[in-house]
Amino acid sequence: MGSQMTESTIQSRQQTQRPFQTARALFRDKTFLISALVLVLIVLAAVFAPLIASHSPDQMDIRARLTPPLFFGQKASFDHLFGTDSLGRDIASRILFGLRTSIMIAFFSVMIIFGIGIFVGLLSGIYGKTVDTIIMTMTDIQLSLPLLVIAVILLAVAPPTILSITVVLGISGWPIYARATRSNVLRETKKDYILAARIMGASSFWVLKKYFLKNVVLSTLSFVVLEFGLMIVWEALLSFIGIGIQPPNISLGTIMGDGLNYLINAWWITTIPGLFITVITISLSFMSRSIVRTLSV
Amino acid sequence: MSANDIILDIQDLYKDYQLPRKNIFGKPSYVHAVQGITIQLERGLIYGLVGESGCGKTTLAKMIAGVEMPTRGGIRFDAEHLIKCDTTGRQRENSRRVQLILQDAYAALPPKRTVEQILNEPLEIHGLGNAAERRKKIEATLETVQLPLSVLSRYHHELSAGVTQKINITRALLLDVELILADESISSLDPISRIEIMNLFLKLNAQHNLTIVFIAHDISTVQFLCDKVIVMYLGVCVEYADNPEIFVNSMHPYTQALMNAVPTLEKGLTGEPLYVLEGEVPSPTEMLPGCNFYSRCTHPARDEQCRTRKPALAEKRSGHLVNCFKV
Ligand SMILES: Nc1ncnc2c1ncn2[C@@H]1O[C@H](COP(=O)(O)OP(=O)(O)OP(=O)(O)O)[C@@H](O)[C@H]1O
Ligand code: SF4
Ligand SMILES: [Mg+2]
Repeated sequence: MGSQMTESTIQSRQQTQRPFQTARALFRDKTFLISALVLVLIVLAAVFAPLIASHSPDQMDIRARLTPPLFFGQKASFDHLFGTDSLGRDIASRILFGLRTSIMIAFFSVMIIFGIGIFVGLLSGIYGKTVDTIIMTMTDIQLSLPLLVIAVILLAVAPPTILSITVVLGISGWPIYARATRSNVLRETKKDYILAARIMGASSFWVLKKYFLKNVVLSTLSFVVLEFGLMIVWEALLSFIGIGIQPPNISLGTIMGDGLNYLINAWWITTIPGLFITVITISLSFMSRSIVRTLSV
Repeated sequence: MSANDIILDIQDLYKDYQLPRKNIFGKPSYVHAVQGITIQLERGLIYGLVGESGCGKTTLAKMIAGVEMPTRGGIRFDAEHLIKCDTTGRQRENSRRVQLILQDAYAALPPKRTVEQILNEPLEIHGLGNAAERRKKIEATLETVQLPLSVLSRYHHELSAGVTQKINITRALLLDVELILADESISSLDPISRIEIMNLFLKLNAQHNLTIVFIAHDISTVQFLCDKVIVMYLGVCVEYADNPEIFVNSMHPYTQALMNAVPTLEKGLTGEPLYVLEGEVPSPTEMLPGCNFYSRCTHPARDEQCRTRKPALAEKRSGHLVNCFKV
C-alpha cells in the first residue's frame, strides 16, 4: 500500500510539472526573456498611458508645432521627448495612447483568427466529407483574395471603427490556420490509436478534446505570436492609408498617417511610431523562434 | 448446440471498400474485402481465424467491433442486433461487449502518455467510477495480466513489445467485455512473450469465460491455442471445424495446401495427395463468378461448375463445415 501511495504522488507531480517545465525552459532562453521584457514594458506603458503621458494626446500647441525630438535640433525640448506633429500635439503621449488601440486590435483579431481557424480546422478534420468540402471551398475562395483587397471591400461597406477593423483583420486571417489544423488532424486521424479509441467507444468529440486540442494549440503557439506582430502592422497600414482608424481615435497607424505630408521636414512624426512597430514585431519574432526551439526539443 | 450458447451470429456479411476515383467522372471501383460470411460463434470458446495476408481477417474483425460498417448483412450479439447496416451511434454500447486488439500494438496506444493515463481512457469514455474506483479497477486488472503496478508511471515509448501488448489487452479487459478479437497479437513478439500472452489468453478464457477470436497467419499458434478454427480465403470462409479435426481431416483444398506448408509427422506417414499453393491470390477488386479458390485449386475434380457457380459453406461432417463443391 505504501509503495502505491508514493507511486501515485510521483505520478501526479509529473503531470502538473510538465507545463511549468516548458515555461521555465522558455524563460531560461535569454532571447525570449529580453524580448518578453521589452513587450511587457510596452504593454504596461500602454495600459498606464493616462498616468505616464506628459500631455493629453489631443492637446494642441500651435507655437510648439513640428518640434523635433530631443537631441535633434535647437527647438527640441524636454517637454516633447519625441517631438510634436503639425498641430503641436505631443508625439510621445500620442504613441502611448495609440499603442492601446493598436495592441487591442491586434490582440482581439489574433483571438478571432485562431479561434475560428482552429475550430473550423478541427471540425473539418474530424467530421465527414460534406462539412469538409464546404469549409475547404470557403477557405479556397478566401485564400485566393489578398488580405488588402478583402479589407478594402469590407471597410467600404462597414464604417471603420475599432470593432469593424478587428473583425475584418480577424476574418481575413483564419483560413490558413483552418487549413493547417485540418491537415494536422487528418494526418493524425489515420493513426491506429484513434481507431483504438473508437473501438473503446469514444465519440469524435472525446477524441478531439483528448488528443487534438492541446497539440493543435501548442503547435500554433509560435504562429500566434508572429501573427500578433503582423496584425499590428496591418492595422498601421490600413490606418496609414486612411481606411483604418479614424480621428479622433489614435493608433500607431494614424500617427504615422498624420506625418505623411511632412515626411521631409518632420520625419519623426512617421518614423518614431514606425520604430515602435519594428521593436514590437522583432521582439515577437524572437519569441516565436524561441517557442519553436523549446517545444520541439 | 442450444441457441443460448451462441454469442455471435454473423449473417451473409459483405464489405466493399470504395477506392478513390481516377477522375470525377470515372466509375468508382471497389475492394471486395469480405464477400459473404455466415458463421456462428459459441460463448466461451477460443477461435482461430487464419488466412493469407489481405484475405479480409482484419476487415471482418473491425465490423464485429463496430468500427467498420458492413456493406450488406448483419451481426447479432446474443440474439440482439449489433449491426444493422443503417444504424449509427451504437458503437458506445457495442464497445462494452466486444473489443478488438489491433494488429500494431504500439501504434494503438496514444503517444506521450503514461500507462496510467492510457488505462484510464476506456473508463473515462464510459464514465465508469470515480478516480479511486478507477484506480482500483486498473490495479485489479493489471494483476490479472500479471503486470507490476510500477508500470503505471511508465511512458508509452518506454515499454517493451510484450508489455505494450499486455497494456492493449488490459485496456480491453477494463470494459468487462464478453468477446475479444486479438488481431495478430503475438506475431511480432519474442518467443517468451509469445508464450506468456498465449497463456494469458488461455487463463482469461478459463477463468472469465471470455470468448476469444485469435487472428493469425501462423497455424502452429492456432493449433496450440484454439478450440475451433476458421479458415478464410479471399473474403470468404472456406472451412470451419474443431481444432484437432481441421488439422487431421482438412477437407478444403486451400486448407490442405496451408497445412502442407507446416511440416507434420502424420502427413509423411499417410501419403495423402499433397496440395501445393501456386500462383497469386486474385485481386479483390473483382467479384469472381465462381469459387474464389478456382484459380489456384489443384483438386482433381475441379470443373466448369467451380468456375461459374459459388459454393456455400456446408456441413460435410458433424461440426465440420466446408465451402467446396467437390468434398
Ligand atoms: N480502408 C481500406 N480501403 C481500401 N481497401 C482496404 C481498406 N482496408 C483494407 N482494404 C483491403 O481489403 C482487403 C482485406 O484487408 P484486411 O486488412 O482485412 O486483410 P487481412 O486479412 O487482415 O490481412 P493481413 O493478414 O495482412 O493483416 C485487402 O485487399 C486490403 O488491401
Ligand atoms: S469448389 Fe471447386 S475450385 Fe473451389 S475449392 Fe472446391 S474444387 Fe476447388
Ligand atoms: Mg490484418
